[in-house]
Amino acid sequence: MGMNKSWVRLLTAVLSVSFLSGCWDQVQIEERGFVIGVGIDLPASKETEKQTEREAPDKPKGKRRYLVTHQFVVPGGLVSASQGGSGSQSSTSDSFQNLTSEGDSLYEISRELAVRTSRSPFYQHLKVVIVSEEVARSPNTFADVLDYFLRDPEMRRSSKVLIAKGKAKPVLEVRPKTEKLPSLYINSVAENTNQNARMIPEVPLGEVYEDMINEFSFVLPRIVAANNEVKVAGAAVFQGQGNRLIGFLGEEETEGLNFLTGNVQGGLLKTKVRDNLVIFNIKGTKRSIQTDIRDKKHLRFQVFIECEGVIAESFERLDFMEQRIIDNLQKTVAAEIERLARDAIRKAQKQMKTDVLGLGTHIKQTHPGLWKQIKEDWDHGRNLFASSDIEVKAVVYIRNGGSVNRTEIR
Amino acid sequence: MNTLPYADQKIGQKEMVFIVANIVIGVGILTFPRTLAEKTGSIDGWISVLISGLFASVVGWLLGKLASRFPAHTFFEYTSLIVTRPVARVITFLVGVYFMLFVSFEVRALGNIAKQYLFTNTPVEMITLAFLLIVQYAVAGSRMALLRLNMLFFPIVLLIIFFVQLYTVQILELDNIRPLFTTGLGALLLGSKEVNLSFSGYEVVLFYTLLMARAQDAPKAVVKGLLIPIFLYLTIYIFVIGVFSTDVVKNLTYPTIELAKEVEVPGGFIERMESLFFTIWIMTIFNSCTVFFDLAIFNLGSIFRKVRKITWILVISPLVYMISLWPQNLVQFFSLGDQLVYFGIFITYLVPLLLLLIAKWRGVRGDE
Repeated sequence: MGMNKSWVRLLTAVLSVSFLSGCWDQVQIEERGFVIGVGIDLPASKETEKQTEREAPDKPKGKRRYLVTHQFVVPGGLVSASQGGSGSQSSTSDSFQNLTSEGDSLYEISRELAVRTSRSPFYQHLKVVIVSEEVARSPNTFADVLDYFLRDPEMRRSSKVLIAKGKAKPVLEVRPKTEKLPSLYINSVAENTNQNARMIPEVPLGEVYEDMINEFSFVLPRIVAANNEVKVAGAAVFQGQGNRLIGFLGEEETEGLNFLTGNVQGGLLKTKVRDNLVIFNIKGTKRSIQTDIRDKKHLRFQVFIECEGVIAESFERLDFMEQRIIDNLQKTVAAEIERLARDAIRKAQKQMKTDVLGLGTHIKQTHPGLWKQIKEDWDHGRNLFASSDIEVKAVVYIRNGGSVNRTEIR
Repeated sequence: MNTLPYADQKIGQKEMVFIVANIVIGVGILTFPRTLAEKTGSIDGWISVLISGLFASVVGWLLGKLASRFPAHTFFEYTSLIVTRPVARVITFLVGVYFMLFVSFEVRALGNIAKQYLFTNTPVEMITLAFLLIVQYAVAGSRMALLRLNMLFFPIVLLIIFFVQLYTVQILELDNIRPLFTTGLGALLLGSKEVNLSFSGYEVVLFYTLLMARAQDAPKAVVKGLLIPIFLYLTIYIFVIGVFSTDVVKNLTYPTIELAKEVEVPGGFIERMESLFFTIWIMTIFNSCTVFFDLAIFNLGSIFRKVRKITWILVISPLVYMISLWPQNLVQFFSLGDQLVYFGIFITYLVPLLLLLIAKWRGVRGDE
C-alpha cells in the first residue's frame, strides 16, 4: 500500500515537471526584431505587381498595393556607439535597419520580412507610424492601412501617427546627429508642442482610431524630411466622411488652428510696436465657444481665446512696468492672435469646407438635439459649417516683462 | 470568545462580502462597456449600471433572506423542506449543472484572453488544461481555505484596479463624456439588461450561508458585496467612455483591457500596466472558478451522498474541459455565455425566489 502510494506520487511529480513547466511562447530577446517605426507609401512602379501577377495569377488581390518600410533597432549598433566613445567607430549607421517591402496587405508585408531578416518583427515598441500624403489622399485607404495596427493585440495604441509631405520612406532615413534612431528622434520632435505653437499636439494611434470612427473631421501632424533632419509643422486635414486627406494647413494656419482649438501650450507671437519687434512668449491658452443656434442654416459662433505669457524679447525699449504700455501691448498681441485665427478659419471654412475647429463637437456636446438634426449636413452634404458665421475674440494677459525692463536707455 | 478566529470552520460577514464581490467580477468586467455602449450609445450607460446594480441588490437580498431562513440546511435540504424531495432533487441537479457549465465558461474565457494577449503561440487547449488543473487542485482541498483565498486575493485586486484608474485620470477627456442625459429610458433599460449579465454570481449566497457564523447577516453581506462591483463598473464605464469615446468603445472587443493598456505610469518604471491587470484578473477568474467548481460538487454531492468529493472532481473535470472547448470562435463563446446566464437567471434567481414565496406562504423555517 505504502509502496503503491509513493509510486503514484513519483509519477505525478514526473508528469507535472514535464508537462507543466516551460513556456510555449518563449522567444529569445536576440530573436526579436524591435520595430520602432513604420512608413507607408504607394509603390512607385508596377514591377513587383506584375511579377506577383505572373507567379500567382489566381490569388485574391487587393485594390491597392503598399510599399511599407519597417525600421528595426540593431542593438549591437546602439551598444558599440555608446561604448566606443570618442572617435572609434562612432558611426550611427549601424544602430538601425530599414527594410522595405511591397504587397497589398500590411500583415503580409510584415510576415514577409521574416524571410529577409533573422529577427521577426515585434511591434510592442512601435513609436511612430508615418503615412505618406499619397496614401492618405487616396479614397478609402487611410483606414485600410491602419487596420492591421489597430486589430493586432500586440500593437500599442500610443504609437504616434504622422503624415509625411511627400514620401514616408525618406522620413525614416534621416540620420540626425543627436539621436541614434530616426524613429525615436521623430518621436521626441513630435512631443515638443510646448515649445512651438506651429505643430499640432501628437496624435496617438488610439486617438486616430477615435477620429476615424467618429463623424468629425480631424487633423494630424505633418512631417517633412530634409537634410538629415525632420520638421514637424503644419497639419494634415482629414475630412470625417471617408477619412481622407484633403489638404494641409501651413505653419501659420496651424498656429491659428491651435489657438482656435485651445491647444497652444507654448510658443511665441511676434508683434510690432512702432516699427520694432516685440516677442511674446506664450505660457498657456484657454478657449471657450458661445453658440447662437436660432438660425439653423446660419449658425453663429463666438470663439473666445484667453492667452497668457511673458515678454521674451523686445527690440523696442518699452517700460514694461507701466500699466498703460502693458495694456496696449496686450491689445496688439490679441490682434495678432485674432489674425492667425481668422487665417485658419478662412482656409478651413471657406477653402476646405471642413470642420477641424471642433465646432461640430461643441454643438454635439452642448446642443445634442440640434446635432442629431444637422449632423448629416455639417461639413459635408449641405455643409452648414461653411455657411456659419465664426467670430474670434482674443484677450491677452502679459504677466511680466522678464528679468530686465529696458536693455539700453535710448 | 475564540482566540483563533478561523478555527471554528465558519465564515463571517466580511468573508461573504468579499466572496460575493470576487465572484461577480469575472468575464463581464472586460466586455460590459462594449455591450452597454452599443445599447445606450452614450455616457448615460452609468445609469443603467445603477439600475441593474439596484436590481441585483434586491434579488441578492431576497436570496440571502431565503438562505438565512435555513441556517443549518444545505440548498438541497431546504428545497426539500419547501417543495418535496423529488422536486428538490431536480432543482439541485440543475443548479449543479449550471455551476459546472459556468466553470467551463470561465476556464475558456481565461484561455481566450490569455491566448489573445499573453501566449499567442500556445494552443488554447493547453492554456485551459493547465488552468483547470490548478482549479482542480484548489477544489480538492478544504472548502474553508478556498473561501478564505478570496480574502487574500481581493484587496490586491482592488488595489491594482484602483491604480489603473488613478493613472487613467490623466488621459481622461472630458469632451468624450458630454453630452449627459440624452438617452431615453428604453435604451437605458435595455442597457441595464446587458449589465445584469455581468452581475451574475451573487447567487452563491444560497449555498454558503450555511457556513456563516451568523446566517442572519447573509442578506446584508450580499448587498455590501455587490456594492463593490457596482462602484467598479460605474467608474470603469465612465473612464472607458472618457478615454475612448462611445463610438470607439462599441468597437473594442475588450474595452477594459484596452483601458489598462492605455495607462502609462509616468517615470517608465511600469510602462505596461496591463501585465499587472492581467495578473489580478486571472486571480479573480481563479477565485470564481474554484467557487463555482466547489458549488457544482456541493450541489451534486448533496443529492448523491455516497460519492466521494475526489470522485466528483475526477468525473466533472473532463466534462468541464470538453464543454469549455466547445465554442469554435468568439461569437459562439459569447453566445454560450449569454445562454448560460439566462439559464442561471431561471434556476438560481427565479426558482429560489419562488421558493422563498412558497416558504413564506407555507411558513416553512429552518432556524427555530
